[in-house]
Amino acid sequence: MTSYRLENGGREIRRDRRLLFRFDDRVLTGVQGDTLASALLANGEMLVGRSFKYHRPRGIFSAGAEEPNALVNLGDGPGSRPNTSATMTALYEGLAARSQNAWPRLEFDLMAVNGLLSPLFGAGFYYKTFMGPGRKAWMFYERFIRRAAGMGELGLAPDPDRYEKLTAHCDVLIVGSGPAGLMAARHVVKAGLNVMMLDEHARPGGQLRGRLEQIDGQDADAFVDQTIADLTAAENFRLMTGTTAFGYFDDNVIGALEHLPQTATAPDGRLAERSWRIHAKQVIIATGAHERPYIFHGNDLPGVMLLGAARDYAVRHGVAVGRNVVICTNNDAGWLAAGALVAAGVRIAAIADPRVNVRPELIAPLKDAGVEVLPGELVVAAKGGRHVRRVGIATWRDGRQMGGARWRDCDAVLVSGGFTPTVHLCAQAGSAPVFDDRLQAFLPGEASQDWIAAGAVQGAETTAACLEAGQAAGMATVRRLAPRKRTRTTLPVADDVTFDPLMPVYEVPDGHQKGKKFVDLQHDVTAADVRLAAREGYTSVEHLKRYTTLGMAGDQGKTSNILGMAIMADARGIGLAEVGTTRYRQPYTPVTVGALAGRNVGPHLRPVRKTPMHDWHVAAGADMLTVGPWMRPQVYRRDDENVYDAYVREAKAVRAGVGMVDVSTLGKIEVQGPDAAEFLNRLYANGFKKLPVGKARYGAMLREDGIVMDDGTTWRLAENRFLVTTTTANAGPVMTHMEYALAVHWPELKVHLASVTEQWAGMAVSGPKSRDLLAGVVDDLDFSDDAFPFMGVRHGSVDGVPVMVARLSFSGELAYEVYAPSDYGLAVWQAIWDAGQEMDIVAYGTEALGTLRIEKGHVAGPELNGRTTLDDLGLGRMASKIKPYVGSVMKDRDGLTGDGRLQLVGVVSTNRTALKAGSHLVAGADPKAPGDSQGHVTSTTYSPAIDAYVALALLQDGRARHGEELYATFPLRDLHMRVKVVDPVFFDRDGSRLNG
Amino acid sequence: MAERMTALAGRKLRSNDRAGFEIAELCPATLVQVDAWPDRVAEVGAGLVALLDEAAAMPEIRQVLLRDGQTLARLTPERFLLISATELSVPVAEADGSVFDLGHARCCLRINGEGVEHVLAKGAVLDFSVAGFPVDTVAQTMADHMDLTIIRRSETEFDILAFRGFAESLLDHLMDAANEFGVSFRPFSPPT
Repeated sequence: MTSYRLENGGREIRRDRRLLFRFDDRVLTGVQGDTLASALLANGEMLVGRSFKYHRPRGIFSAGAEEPNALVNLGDGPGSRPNTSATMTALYEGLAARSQNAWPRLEFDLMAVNGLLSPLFGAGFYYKTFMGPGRKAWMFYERFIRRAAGMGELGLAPDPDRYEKLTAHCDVLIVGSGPAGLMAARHVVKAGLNVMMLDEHARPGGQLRGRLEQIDGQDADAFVDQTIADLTAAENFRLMTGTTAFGYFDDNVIGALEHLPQTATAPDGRLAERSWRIHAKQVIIATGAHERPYIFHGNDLPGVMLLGAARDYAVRHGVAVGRNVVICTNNDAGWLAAGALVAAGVRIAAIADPRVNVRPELIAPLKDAGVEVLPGELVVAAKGGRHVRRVGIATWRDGRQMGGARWRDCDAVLVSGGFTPTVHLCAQAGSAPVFDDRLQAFLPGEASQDWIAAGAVQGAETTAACLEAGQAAGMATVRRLAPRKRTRTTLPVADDVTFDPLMPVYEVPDGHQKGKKFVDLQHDVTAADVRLAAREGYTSVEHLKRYTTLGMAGDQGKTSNILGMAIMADARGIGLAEVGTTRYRQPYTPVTVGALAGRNVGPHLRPVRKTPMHDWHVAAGADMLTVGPWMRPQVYRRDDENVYDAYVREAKAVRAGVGMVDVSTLGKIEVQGPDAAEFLNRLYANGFKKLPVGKARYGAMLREDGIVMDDGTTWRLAENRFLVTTTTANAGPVMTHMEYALAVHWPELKVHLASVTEQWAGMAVSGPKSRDLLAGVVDDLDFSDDAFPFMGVRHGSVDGVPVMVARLSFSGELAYEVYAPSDYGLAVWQAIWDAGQEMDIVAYGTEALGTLRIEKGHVAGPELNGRTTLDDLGLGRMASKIKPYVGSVMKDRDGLTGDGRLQLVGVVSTNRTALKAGSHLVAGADPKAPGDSQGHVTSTTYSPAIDAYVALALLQDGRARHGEELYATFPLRDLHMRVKVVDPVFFDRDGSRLNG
Repeated sequence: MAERMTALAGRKLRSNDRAGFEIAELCPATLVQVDAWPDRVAEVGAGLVALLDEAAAMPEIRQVLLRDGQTLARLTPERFLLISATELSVPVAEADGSVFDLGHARCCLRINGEGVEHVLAKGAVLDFSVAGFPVDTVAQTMADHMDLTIIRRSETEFDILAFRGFAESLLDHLMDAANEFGVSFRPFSPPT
């Protein structure tokens, strides 16, 4: 045990509130205010996971979202979460965490044998496996690679937790609550703007929580508390902690993930996370910077850690990361952090800095505390087993190691190689990062959306500079959003020092020491991998990323990207600015799929649309089918019937007597105005101007390119009032098409439109007995042939409910469509149903509806497939030759006319076998040599009317090929059936049944 | 005559112990969309306003005129939505515009509660703060894949209109979203 809980200190913990938690099979104790990482360190748990490829022991490396190593499986059972960062998980009583990527156990991982095979696993290993001995070899070892790959395991059971999605709007969104964020907030809140502030940590304050500076004469910690208290007292300020802004999207929309506090005893359905879509007029990005390490031999050992993280664990959580600590920093902030560690009671043996000249005021407190100070020296290597035990320090001059390392014992090595501004949101918003030579870091580029970067993200090094930058960002925001406000805030005074420039150190070269040097700890990318990529030609940063997987893991290379680019720059002999950086994409940190789905899971997956008769169908035993959002009855099964039995029975019953089907889902558009007839005449391929009042007409409309768009009947209800019906699927597109035509093409027409699909419950009553049935149910309506001819539209009433009745037929039988106001739809349906009992009425579903229309050769969705013309469908004669209409010009263009078009035909199975929609029509009898496709089957059914398996199909020049025998082939199911091409109207070709 | 069955008729009245959020189904006797010809907006608007309040001005776009049990919402420059608990004869001549009866085409829910803005934010992307969505205004938007017309009646009360067929899904969405406040639902029941 090396790390431990200090006897005193810890700004954020309550030592009197102990929490029991479990890590693997060990029950451990933490305290309130711990993160899982700080609690593990307090218990001396240096080894927390195994690495991705080589299964090397890994320990906690950071104290924030940049953590590459300490990923655990959090929780037990279906709600457990793999790859959860221990550094970002607040400890709670009963927390259970398991280490990942180790077998059989963390301390003894047999997969560590991979380390011996590391020469095979270099850069591009995965891609090279594709080019191995051959495809069969890949098929052999693919499963082994896939089994070994990945970190953590996802359960297959449904996640019992609850996730929500919300939208918020604000004037100003401030991301980050460090010194810059707080100062910006003070200013914009005072100006009365509506402000939201996000911070990914459980407590606001950012870097100030771990600092010992004084601000306005008080501790930085107290300054944060006071500022937050002042801000939250204002009604126009909202603070959301534990909330990560993970993505910057177009139109100043920020995606954020809110982690809700968890407990081990919460029941299923607990609210785990909320994903927020935040619309902000102005975003202030105060996301700070991540400390970065540098690369040396053995730099991945547990106990090697970022210096600032060790400071945070000591100051915030009262945890020492070691008892014999060695520090190496190339910057002044590192000396301040070392001072904070000493003040917290951590024993530091030595501190090295490659710079020969370090400010005396930084050195003095450490010397006074007995720390050996080593200017001009650098930690060049670390050794150990499951954690670091020895460290090698060497003299460093002009970027080179001078002589061999001097070794000394230690149990923790804390490193600081500078800072990498957290520019992710800026880059996601479209800004290319710009390299700053002094800071040796990429800074935000020019803002392409309404954001301002402030503080460390912008390159500010000291607390004072961050406070000033925050205030400036706040002032600029007020000037933009509330220019008349005269707001003043006083700039607090911080007592930190001005920084000297850092000395760039990215990698200790090979030579004096041997061993692996890791760039990307999470993906096990080594310095040698980056140099190999350079040798093999993958020199662009984008290629480097993909070839080595540098920066592709869950941590997105927050501590490693710039190191890899620096090695590439060295390998290419150019500067870092020229090498450039990859552009960050969303998300900044991993987002659970649950949070993205929100409540659209299970029964809430998507809304469903029900007709007024829905409950009746369900009570009658219908199998309900989703058709788009609509629920429609497919069949009404009786006893032991299967779907086939049921639809055959229903279709037979319609042709023999009477049946009723719910057609409420058909699109209905009411068209009004003095130019309504002219409008429809221009829209449809056939004429509508002379349609008499009280009559309906079948019509087809084309797209502008001449392809059929939709079909349906249109009823003339009054001189200037029409009801247009559409297919269920095309109700929306047809409405849009009409509105577009009115708005853009013919704004001069006086026409108004409204969707009335849901105003009317529709029921089609079909069969030779339909007239007799309805005549007994519908009042005030003469059903005689003369008074109510085919395509007639009449008004009547059923039990006092006004109804519209149209004599239309999709089934080919004598049939009527009855439309009742929706709230009376069920009553009218029930009245017809009751009256039909003595005629053995059946309710029929979409299957029988399809059977009846296929038998009659009526086209529907499968034939109106966006590629067919009226002529293809045998409806060419419908098209008017005397008027222009939408599509009338383009329908005659080359390619839509002439030989070789797919034309509608019927096909009949010659060996009484069911045909499959999607089958290709071919000439070859041999399934293995079918020949070219000549067309395809669109709609299939068994036809009880002619006792045969039939289908509609689209066949090249099909109308001239009736009588030919072909094969319907469906290779995916090994189907190859002989069929005969026939006329698409299989039944009642003279249409006599329309009259009953 | 048969009894009118609203979209949620027969759905059980639901409530839990700490219902701080109420959902009630409405069944307006009049619900019509009125479209005026571009040069007749003032006349049509005046006629509609007069049905509610002789002294009131025609609502601006997105504004709503609320009077005892009656709502006149101006959806677009030329389009109005008139909702009334009582039957109204809508005085619009063909020469002035068109009237579309949508009385059976919509499900109407009234929601009320302290957390109403938060509940709505779980589905729709609009700014539901009073500043962003003032009282007596209307918006047409989507929530949970459903087209909605939303009218703000007070700081804590909204009316929501959706296609009738989506009624149950809309109710489920709202019940679920408001669960954290405790929620009750009351289906429409005709006056006895």
